[in-house]
Amino acid sequence: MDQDMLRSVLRDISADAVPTPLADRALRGASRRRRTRAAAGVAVAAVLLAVLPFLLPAGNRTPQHPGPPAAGTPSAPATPAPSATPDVSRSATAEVSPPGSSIPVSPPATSSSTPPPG
Amino acid sequence: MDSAAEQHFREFVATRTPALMRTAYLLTGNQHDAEDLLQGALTGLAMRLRSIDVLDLEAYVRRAMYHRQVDRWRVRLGRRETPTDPRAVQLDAVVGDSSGRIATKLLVQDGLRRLTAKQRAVVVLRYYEDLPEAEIAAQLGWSVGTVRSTIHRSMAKLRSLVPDLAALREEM
Repeated sequence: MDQDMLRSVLRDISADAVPTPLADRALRGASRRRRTRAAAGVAVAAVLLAVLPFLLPAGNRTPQHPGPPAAGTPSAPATPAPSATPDVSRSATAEVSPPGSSIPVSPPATSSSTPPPG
Repeated sequence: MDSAAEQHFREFVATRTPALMRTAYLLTGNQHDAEDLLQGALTGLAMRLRSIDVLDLEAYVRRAMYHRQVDRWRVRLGRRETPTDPRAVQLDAVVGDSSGRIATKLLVQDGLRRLTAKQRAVVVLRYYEDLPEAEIAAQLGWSVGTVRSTIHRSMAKLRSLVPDLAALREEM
């Protein structure tokens, strides 16, 4: 048997195939596949949208540990520095000390312990 | 797909289905699988019709069929069908028809079923489509050496299965 014979036999075998109308089936299959792909895309997008809010704050919620102070930077004093200007907010009720005096001077008392004149 | 593209697709399918079905039949070995194979390739074509050059429709479908057939072979590796006994086929052929041509046809048909899908695809491309090895390599995305060795193994197997093919030497 030579190669022409094999070709001829292959042609004989292929002649057994029965052509069937496949256009409609192929078009239906294509539209079905397109719908499936679109649905899969929508599903993936929905999952991403649902998960994204949980993912983003988790990224911002990373613990912020204060690092050790830099060597050249002095740390803030524990007690506040004395202010040159008196505290205005407490002027009405604060005890006023004259300069050089360590004894606090109270404002005139209006309490009921002092008897009225006369 | 718009109506013009659909019309073009329908004309192409109506015109070329007989030839494409013959190739699919040779690749698969039976009518049902041939229809499935061709329909799958045509479905892929229908999805991409706008992006494919009009002249390349048939080339696209044929290429898709060959690739699908080889992939299908990968999927079906685990569940191979048990082929029939070639001697039984020969006996039936001799009893049914005295002419050696039909007997040879049945033997070759059975031998093709015993090849792997890759081997069958190569035999079909080489001896039915009459494509040179370089063209087969381009169609399947293989190297020429792979095509050549696959043809060699396929023909050796066919010769062992079909005694009438013993004298056949593949063209190199």
